[in-house]
Parts: sequence; C-alpha cells; structure tokens
Amino acid sequence: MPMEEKLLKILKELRPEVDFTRETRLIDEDILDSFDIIALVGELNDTFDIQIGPEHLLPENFNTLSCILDLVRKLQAEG
Amino acid sequence: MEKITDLDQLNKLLAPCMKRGVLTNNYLMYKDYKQYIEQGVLYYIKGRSGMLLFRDDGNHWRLLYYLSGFEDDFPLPEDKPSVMEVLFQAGGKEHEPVLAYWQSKGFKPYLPRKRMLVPAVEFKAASFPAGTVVFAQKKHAPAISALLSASFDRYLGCIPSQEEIIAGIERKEFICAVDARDRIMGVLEIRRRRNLYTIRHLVVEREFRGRGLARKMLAFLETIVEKDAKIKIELWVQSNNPAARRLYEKAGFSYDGLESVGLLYEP
Repeated sequence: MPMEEKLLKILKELRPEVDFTRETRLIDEDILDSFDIIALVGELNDTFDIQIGPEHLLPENFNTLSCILDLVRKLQAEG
Repeated sequence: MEKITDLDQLNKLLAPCMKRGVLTNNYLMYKDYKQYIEQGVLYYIKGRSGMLLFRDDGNHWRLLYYLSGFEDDFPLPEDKPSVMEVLFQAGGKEHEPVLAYWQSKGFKPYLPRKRMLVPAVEFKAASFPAGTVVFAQKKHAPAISALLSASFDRYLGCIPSQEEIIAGIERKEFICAVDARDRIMGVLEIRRRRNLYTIRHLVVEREFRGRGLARKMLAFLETIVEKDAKIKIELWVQSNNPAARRLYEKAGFSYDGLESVGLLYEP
C-alpha cells in the first residue's frame, strides 16, 4: 500500500469524521488535539518504522496530510 | 531520579516510548518540554518496561508515565506528594489496569472529572443584569487568588499565581461578580486557544451562593464569546457535583465522553 494511503487509513481510524485530504489547518483549528497527536505518533512510529520524538511535536508538522507525509519521509530518509 | 537538562537527552529517552500500545498520560508538545527544560523542572526515572517523567510543580511532583508493562517498582520521591491525572473514554476499560497498578503502588484515586462541551453558537446563558458582573481589575487579584486557592484542588486545580492572575486580567481572562463595596463574590476564568475557549475556573464565594451569580457570570461570558460555527467552549466538571453539571447543561453544555481521575501519592 502506498505511504499516503497507509497514512490516510491511520488518520481515518483516529478521526473518521475529518476529511484529511481537504483540511489545511488540522492543528491551528484544533481539529486534532494533543491526545490525537500522541496516539497518531505511536501509530506512525510503528507503521513506518521511524522515531518521531518530542522535538517533532510542532504544529507545522501536523497541520496537513502533506506535512505529516513530509515528516514521515524525512525521518525515513534519516533512517 | 535524574534531571533532564537538554532536548537531545529528552529525545533519546522518549523516542523508544512513543510506540503503539505504550500506555501514557503524557500529552505534552515540544513547546512545553522546551519550557520545562529551560526552567530546570523536568526529571525522569527509567524502569525495565516503562519510564516516568516528573515535573517539579512546587508543592508536588506532577507525574507523567509511559508503561508497556506493569512489572516495574519505581522508587517514588519522598520529599513531597506525587500527583497524576489519567484520562479515559467513558465506558472504556483500557485505563483500569493502569489505575490498579498505581493503586498497588500507594496512589489514591481522587477528583474524578468529566469534560463538557458546547459549540459557541449554542451557548445560551441567562439575560445579563448590568452592574453585578465585570471584567476583573488588577486590584481584584489578591481576592481572586484567595478564592481560587480556597476552592480548587491544590495539586490538580491549575491554581494560577497572583502574577499569572494579573497577566490574565490584562488579557481580560478573569470575569468577576462584585458587590456594592467591590468585594469579589465570584470568579470565572476563561482562556481562548485558537477555536477553543476553556472555562478554567468558575466559583462563587460560599456566603454568596444561591443568588444565581454563576449563571450571571456565564451570561457575561456569552456576551464576549465569538459566535462562530468552528468555535467551542469546554470545561471539566467534578463528577460528584450535580449542581454544577445542571448549571452547565442549562447553558447548553453536554458530556463529550472524556473523563479523568487524579491519583495522589503522599509519602
């Protein structure tokens, strides 16, 4: 399954009511709160074999689907 | 217990804990960690199947846990109480082994709370009689401080210092009911973060209860809340306070399913 599709599946399981393909201010508009982010980080770390740590818990990393994808790709590349 | 002195150390400690299935009550974001490390108030204890973070909150240690099992016997600080809060969905079972574990280590559950929410456009308090309720002024800070300290839990009550109250008064976050002699009869503290208002404290001095002052402060709040479809108002109400629950329900609030319980360890 492509990475974007996997990510969307995780996000949809977390918050089924949100259209993650359209939202551009997931954090700025409190669509995702810190509870969601912590649950999401655990899933992302395991699914994509990356280590999102406290230093990455910034609004700009989680505001859009593409921001989250960029973060995952960056951490995968850092290996 | 070791002090955390920089973000690199924190990253190395926490990265292995931020995994699926690891139980935690830690919802801090980067800016929070940065602040606590700069203040020198963050410590940790590492175990075989978990790790604890401790934030020095002055009169107590605020405990944040990561648990992937329940085998560890963490040595708890003995100089002052350790306090934590566990959040869970109503009807959920996931928190039960966590509560049982901490109770087996000497923690006592207290301060059960439930979250209530209302969309700002549906927030309806009563009509507002002018004169009784006003934005607090700096001169009210000592009385507000005294009332909040006497009314809310000293560990989990998020009681602001007088300096924080003054800063909040400047941001118009404190609404108060005053009598003809300018005595504080009640206080409502509100904070806005993006699209969410949080009622942090709402209290009426004991001798002035039964006069509808809490409702009047909510009515004042209604006049200043931005009524936009995206905006919500939230609060946490004690599960054993039906009078407060009824007050909020009349203003349009309802439970959203999130609950919490405090855990207190007194050495």
